[in-house]
Amino acid sequence: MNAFPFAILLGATLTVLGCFLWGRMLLCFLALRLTRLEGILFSFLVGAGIFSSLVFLLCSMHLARKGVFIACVLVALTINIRMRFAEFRTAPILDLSSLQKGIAAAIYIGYGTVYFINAMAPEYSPDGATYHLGNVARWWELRGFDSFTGSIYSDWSQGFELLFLVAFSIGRHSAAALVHCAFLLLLPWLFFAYGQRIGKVWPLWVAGLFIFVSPVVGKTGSTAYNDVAVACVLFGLFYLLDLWRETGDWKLIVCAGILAGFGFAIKYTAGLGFVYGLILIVWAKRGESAKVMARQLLYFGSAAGAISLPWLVRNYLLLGNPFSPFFNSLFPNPYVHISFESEYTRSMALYSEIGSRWELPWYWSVGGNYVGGIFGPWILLLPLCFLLIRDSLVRKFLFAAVFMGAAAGTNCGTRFLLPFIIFAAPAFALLITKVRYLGAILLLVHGVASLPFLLPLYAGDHTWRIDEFPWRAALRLDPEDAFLTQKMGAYPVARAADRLLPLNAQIFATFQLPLAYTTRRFWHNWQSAEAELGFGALLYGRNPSAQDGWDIGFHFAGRELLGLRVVSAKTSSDQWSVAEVNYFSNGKSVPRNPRWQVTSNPNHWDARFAFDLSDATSWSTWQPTKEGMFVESDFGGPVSVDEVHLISANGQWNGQWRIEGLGTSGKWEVLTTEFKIREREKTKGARFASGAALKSMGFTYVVVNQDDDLGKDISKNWRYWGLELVERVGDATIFRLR
Amino acid sequence: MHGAPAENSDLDDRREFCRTNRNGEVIALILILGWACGCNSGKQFHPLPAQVVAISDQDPGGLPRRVSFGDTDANDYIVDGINGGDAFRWTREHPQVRLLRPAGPDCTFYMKFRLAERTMEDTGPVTIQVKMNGRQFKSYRYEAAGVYLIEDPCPVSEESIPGPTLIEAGSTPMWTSPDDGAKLGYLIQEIGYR
Repeated sequence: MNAFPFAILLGATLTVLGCFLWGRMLLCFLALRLTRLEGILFSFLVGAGIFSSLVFLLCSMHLARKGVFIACVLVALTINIRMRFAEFRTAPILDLSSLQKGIAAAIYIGYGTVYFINAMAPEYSPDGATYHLGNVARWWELRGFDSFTGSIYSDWSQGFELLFLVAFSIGRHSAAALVHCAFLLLLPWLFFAYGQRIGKVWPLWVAGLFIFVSPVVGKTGSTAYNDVAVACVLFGLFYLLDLWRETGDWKLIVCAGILAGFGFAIKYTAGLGFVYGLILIVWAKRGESAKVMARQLLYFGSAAGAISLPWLVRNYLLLGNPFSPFFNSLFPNPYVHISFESEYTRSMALYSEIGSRWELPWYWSVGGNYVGGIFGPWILLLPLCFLLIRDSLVRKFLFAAVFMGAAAGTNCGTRFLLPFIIFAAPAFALLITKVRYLGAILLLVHGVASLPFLLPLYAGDHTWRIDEFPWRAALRLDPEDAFLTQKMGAYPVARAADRLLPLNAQIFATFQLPLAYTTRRFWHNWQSAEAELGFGALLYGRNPSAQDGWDIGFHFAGRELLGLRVVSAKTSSDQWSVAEVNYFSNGKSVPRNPRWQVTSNPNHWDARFAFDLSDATSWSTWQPTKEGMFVESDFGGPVSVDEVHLISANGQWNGQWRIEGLGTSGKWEVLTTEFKIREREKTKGARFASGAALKSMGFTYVVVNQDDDLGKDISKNWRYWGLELVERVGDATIFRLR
Repeated sequence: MHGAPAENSDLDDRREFCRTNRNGEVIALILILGWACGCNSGKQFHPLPAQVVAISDQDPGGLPRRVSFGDTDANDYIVDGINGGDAFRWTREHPQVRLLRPAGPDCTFYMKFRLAERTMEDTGPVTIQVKMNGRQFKSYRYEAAGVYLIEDPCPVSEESIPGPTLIEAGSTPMWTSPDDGAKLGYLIQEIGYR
């Protein structure tokens, strides 16, 4: 996985150039009246959306190859040169004073260098090394999209990862991180250009640098994340819509639409930008005819749809849910459980370590622990912006901040506040620059307070931040493998998986691996419905209490039946699960017949787990139980039954059930509503049952480490689990399912 | 006279066309939404799955070879006579654990524990008697407080066979706590087989 510095820089440069050239082509074709700086910035931003869509197309056709990417850039370059498009005009530059220039240059160059070196160092960020680049690594292996359904992190839109893919194809992981870093380096210039437009260069430049210097922005922007890119796109969208309101040029709406679509293609939550655009267009055209308004909306919506809809279509075709991993109640599917979605959205909205939402401003500004970084104490001063509420420009910024920042309600991580901050910061800067030198002083204070070696003096111990200047690692003077092994304990396991396991291996892992450094497919505990089922099976083998099940018996007058179902007779907030459904007649088990068919409501695809003879697997509602939910068998012919036994996990005290039978007359009738519950003894051979269940689900390998009881037990007693030892790597062990 | 009906007819036709057309749109919309939402009024049946043979007599049912009392699952293997707590736990009378004795000639009984100074001052030398499945294995006598490690080859006899084994490691004399009168032995950290 080692990459050479030249390849890293080449990969990143080619990607950035590709974005710029594709965007410049469109902007020049549309003959937009932009300043030179705006031309450069929007060529890059709009071009990123176009280039990302182009790569989407290539990935769909499995043409994601280094040569094809280079050809895409060369084609754009040739067209740019040969077409001789008109240059963007240069607006009168509103200059800064020498002092302002000095402060700005020192901060921008100083922090920019730190960010660049960190981005160029081997990538080990939590999300970057696991899924942002994990997805990219898999695509690159297949030269296009795959059909991996084992992780929600492969589900949502990944427009930015497609740009990573271009860089990755040449310079691997660090090249991808550098692409994100390019957006970070561009961010203050967006503010500068907007400041020129509205005649407030210094306040906007201060705002841009306040954001640029903020520790969480620097850390995020120098890794293979996408949050800073989202911030650039949303501010660019705001900017273009503002220009459109000023000039009325419909072509700006097209570009704004591309940015709105690209925002959604990067991150679902940035879809708020699209809604913001719609509202602004309707508001701006409220006095005009419906036809005029509809035309503007059409331009905006079409451009946005062209960039974003392919992701929804892909998700619908692959996962049955265009908005996966959300809205699973609306789009039921076998890949994400409704219960998971509920728990996930709840836990993301407010992390369990944080007592109340009122504590969040402290965590986001100074605390830093749990929420993944800080912006710095300055954001505690943001409420002062309301002192300028009579200023229409401030109102515009604050409206955008509240609207775009609403996404922070879905995830209380600090970086999710960035869409709010990019609009609140200009309002704040407009306030503080009203007092002579105050803007410069506060910017200097913030710049000093954010220095990586000063942060530990006040920020929480576990604040996610830049804490080194790894120039030797960045230039690969220190070996990449050694650096990554030191940073990520599981890195050698990922590399061993690539070395030892076949490409089509389906690997269940009880701990998170840096998937960016392996091309193998891992299912991790909770990250998909498939993984939850697998983990449930493993827990059954390990946890003695999980083996103490209930036997729920139903007795009724024996009769010939064509079908039979167990129906929930009560709505409850608890889930209902069934490990096995067994039928009896005259005290003898009714043997299962291959002509039987089974189904259930909900989750008919999991009905098999109630009829597979394994207590380690269960059908479950995976949502609160509703009256009428059922598990059903179609016997394919008359079968005599007088007794039904449900084997299930114990503790389902809120459950009430009835048995319904399909008589030979073709009518469903209630056979009984009475049942008796009997405790079952622990099952002998539970470990083996778990291993067999995991195998029946399609898994072929298991990777555990010894940090938890499950991993310890599997490591000690692997023979009982039906496993074969493949390799021990540090504390982790790779097994093959026999 | 002839024009009016024709005009009406034309209007009717238009209305009818619009109505039909709208119905078509509505139906198309419902179909698209239904398709997109995965609505399906019919049940989707699946064939019976392969029946998973899930029992193996080799697995004794969840027993490890040894237990460290710092592990969160340690309580699962205590039968009697060992207090709750952390990595070092007080033994009472008849401390017993159920563990898996492995097969093979290299089987070694293993036990790590501490004799506390406070108790040894009162009790004097302590003897620990180890039994396996009720049969005497060995006795160990200790004169002083400290951390001790026992490692001895597993017993070889017809009764002592590989598989689930009840290990008892009681100590005499017991120390009586002046606070609550509890009878305590020693602090056990780890026990089992290698």
